[in-house]
Amino acid sequence: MITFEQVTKRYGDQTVAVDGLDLTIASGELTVLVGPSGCGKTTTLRMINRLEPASAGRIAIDDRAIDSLDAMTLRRGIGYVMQHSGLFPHRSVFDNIATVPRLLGWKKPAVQERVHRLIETVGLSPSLATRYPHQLSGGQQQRVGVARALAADPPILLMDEPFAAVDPIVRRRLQDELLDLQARLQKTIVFVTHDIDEAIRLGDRIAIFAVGGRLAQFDTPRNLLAAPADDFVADFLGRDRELKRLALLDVRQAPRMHAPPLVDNDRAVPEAKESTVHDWVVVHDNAGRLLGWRHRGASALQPFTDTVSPTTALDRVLAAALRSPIGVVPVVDDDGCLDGLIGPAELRKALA
Amino acid sequence: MSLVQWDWVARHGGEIGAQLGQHVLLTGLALGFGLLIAFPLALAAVRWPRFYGPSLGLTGILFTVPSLALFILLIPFTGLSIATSLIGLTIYTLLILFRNIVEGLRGVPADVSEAAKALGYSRGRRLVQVELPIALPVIMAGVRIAAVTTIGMVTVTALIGQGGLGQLFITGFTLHFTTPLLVGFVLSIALAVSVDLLLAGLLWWLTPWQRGRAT
Repeated sequence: MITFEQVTKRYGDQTVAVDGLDLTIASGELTVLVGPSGCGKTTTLRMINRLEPASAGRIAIDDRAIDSLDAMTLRRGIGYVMQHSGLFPHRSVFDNIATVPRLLGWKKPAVQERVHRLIETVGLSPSLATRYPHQLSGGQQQRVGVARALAADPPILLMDEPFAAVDPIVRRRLQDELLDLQARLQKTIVFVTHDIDEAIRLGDRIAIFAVGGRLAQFDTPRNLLAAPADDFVADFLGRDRELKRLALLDVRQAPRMHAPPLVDNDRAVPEAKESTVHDWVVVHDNAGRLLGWRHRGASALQPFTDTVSPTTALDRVLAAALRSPIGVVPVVDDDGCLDGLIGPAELRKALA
Repeated sequence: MSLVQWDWVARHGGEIGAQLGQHVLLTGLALGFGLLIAFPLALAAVRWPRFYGPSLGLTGILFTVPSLALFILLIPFTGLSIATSLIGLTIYTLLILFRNIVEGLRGVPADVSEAAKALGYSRGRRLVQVELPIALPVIMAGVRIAAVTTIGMVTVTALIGQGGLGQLFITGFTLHFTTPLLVGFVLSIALAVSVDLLLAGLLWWLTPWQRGRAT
């Protein structure tokens, strides 16, 4: 647990980078610090390993003030990943990753074993171990940067816009890998970004900073999106806030269409008994398996191009519903059975 | 009469060898002392940028003093000794070494120094294990220029009786005899070229990460 109590950072006499910050970062969670440039998020991060000394207030890790430790000891116990990898250009991938274990005086075999394990952990090919950083792609460099930060197995990992300099496709993959890594390692990660989408994607909790170093809101992504504290936060989350909320929910959290016009194909249903609310019906067999849809009274059955499963994210459900010729999309469970229909009205209820 | 009288060369082989040896020694010592002085100056200039201007100015002014004048100025203090020539030679290496060490250290990418700091390097270890290796190509470029310049300058110190191969020029002039002139000429050039190549090779050996990389 990392706690900030009334922490202020001033540069010179005038500029206030961080203003009276109170923040508790829970252990084992990925906390994202996000905000526009000049909001103090990076400064906040750098105060944790004392790359920037705080001007006032107290910062503690597990209730132990960080000033009570020698700066080098403190830093060796905290992983640090930066935007442009910051790899040592004169050292091979192996030696870069081995940096902190060697600083800590590990024995050679232990270093070797650890480095080779980490190369695997971050998804690099072992053949890259002898390469120099300039021989790697941007994505590979960032992976080495993460491996180097994890080398001595620190409980805390600080990441300063680590994926900002790689292209969007690689970024997406690195984000997935980080989530995967975090699920296995359960580190306390503090992650700085200016990209709200990245923050929502990665964060267990998000701290939104406003210019002037003020903490505007600190909550889970869902709560932030559902109830932004003020206009600044709402604005920062974006006008497509509802779409972002949908992305965080899945089909299990949405209701199904009330009284859907379903037809069991094995039983002949007189047209008169079909619903008159809709001009279409969805057809399934007597085992409950989806067959398709047809216009009311017509006999030509048409297949659905999209179906969704209980774990599909609701933003995808919305897209599928918009594509669907009947405006709703069928939910098909793992056994292949039809589990109701979802349309925009149900998505709205899910957000309510 | 041939341009070079090889029998003279053969008869004075030992002497020529000794002069070559002194030439190498003077060059090496001057560079060594130069580095010893320039290094702390450069570190100070990198750490306290305010210090850079005055240091550069001072070494620059020293560099512009005509070499002969400098040696003559030193004679009242140190006489016609090896100290006189060494002091002079060292002074001339300072500007180049100082400037290149500063540039080399300043050229270390900020994020690399920052990463070293964040990973828990002490200041001293960071300098030795991270910043100096990265600055090495620029520093070595300075050492090479300083070495070649010094090798040329050593011949001038022959005028105060400490000149290494320069002695051969004096002998040649005094005796109106071309052989020692030519021998001195060829040997000092050969020495400069081999030292330069040697230092380049040393750099190549010390910086495996630079190989095959466009600079």
